[in-house]
Amino acid sequence: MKRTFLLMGALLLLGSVASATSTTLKWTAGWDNFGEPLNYKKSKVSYSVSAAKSTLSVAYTLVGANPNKVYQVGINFFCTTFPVTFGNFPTAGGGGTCPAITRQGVTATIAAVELGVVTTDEHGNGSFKVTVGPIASGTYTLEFQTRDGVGCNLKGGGSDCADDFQSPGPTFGDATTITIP
Amino acid sequence: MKKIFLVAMALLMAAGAASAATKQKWTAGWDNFGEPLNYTKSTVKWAVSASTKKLTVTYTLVGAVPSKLYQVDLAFFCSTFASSFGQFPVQALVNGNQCQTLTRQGVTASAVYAEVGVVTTDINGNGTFAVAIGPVAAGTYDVEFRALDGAGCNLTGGAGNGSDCGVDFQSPGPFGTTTTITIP
Repeated sequence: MKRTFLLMGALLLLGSVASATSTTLKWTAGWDNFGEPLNYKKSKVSYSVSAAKSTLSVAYTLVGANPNKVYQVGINFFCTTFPVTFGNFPTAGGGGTCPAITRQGVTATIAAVELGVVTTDEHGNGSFKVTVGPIASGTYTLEFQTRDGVGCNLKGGGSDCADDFQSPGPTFGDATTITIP
Repeated sequence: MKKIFLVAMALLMAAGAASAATKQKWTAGWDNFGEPLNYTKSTVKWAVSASTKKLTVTYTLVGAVPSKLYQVDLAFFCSTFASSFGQFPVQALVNGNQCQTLTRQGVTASAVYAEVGVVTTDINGNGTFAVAIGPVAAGTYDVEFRALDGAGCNLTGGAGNGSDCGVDFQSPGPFGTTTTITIP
């Protein structure tokens, strides 16, 4: 009986880790480009916070985008000031005062953090998962973003920083809030 | 007792699936030999699922250049090859289905490539990328895994087909020393 209890406990623990606090959002068209193809019903961005580790895990999924293309993915924070880093990733421009930009008729002050790349296959499908941390405690107001290529604020790519997809959107500045305890 | 047996079987099945993975080390080149990397901690791990005909690969770089993009792929050593590998198109085919001849590190061989993703490094030069490829046509493949000096080689949206196509890291290496992967 004791062994059964221990085994069941281990399985329950595994299950709770997999399902805890995961949130899934849909993509909307970008604040720069509005014609990039995407299956908006099947594409998504999912995230979860580990309170114990102070980490944020994000899974970017694109379905029906342009085939054989690289899309840089990251987070756009709405802020007045921002640290030099977000977890183990640098803030573009080095942090400090968040600069103002205007998109879709909305002006906001932002900081960008580049996290990775979605590479699409011959069907235009691809995904990328990343764990960021440890992150300083706080409440972050943000949009996830997908850029029209790779290399923006990073070495080894091109220079296309334009935004193809935003989440949640649909308008620049429509944000989600993430709290790191 | 029956419940214990079922739970134990489930755990054993999960452990069995995980143990099929093979982990390899990176070596330098075959084009660039000065790119920084912690060769002790960096790995490429792969596994084949016989039931789904899928090859899963996890590329891990530790101590590379911070905030840099490294495109990762598979180089197949071959005489002829199909136009796709799983859901990814094959690059460098000549005359239809023939593999391209090249010489690196004093060795001449013919090869083609499937570009499957990008490792993006953080402020410490660390990054990882995992991909599931398939279903893959049954066969035996002689493969080197590669990490290129940038992103966009044979893909849209990156640096193009310039110096970023240079190979920073190969596994197992040196050029032409391959791993054999069998898809049943």
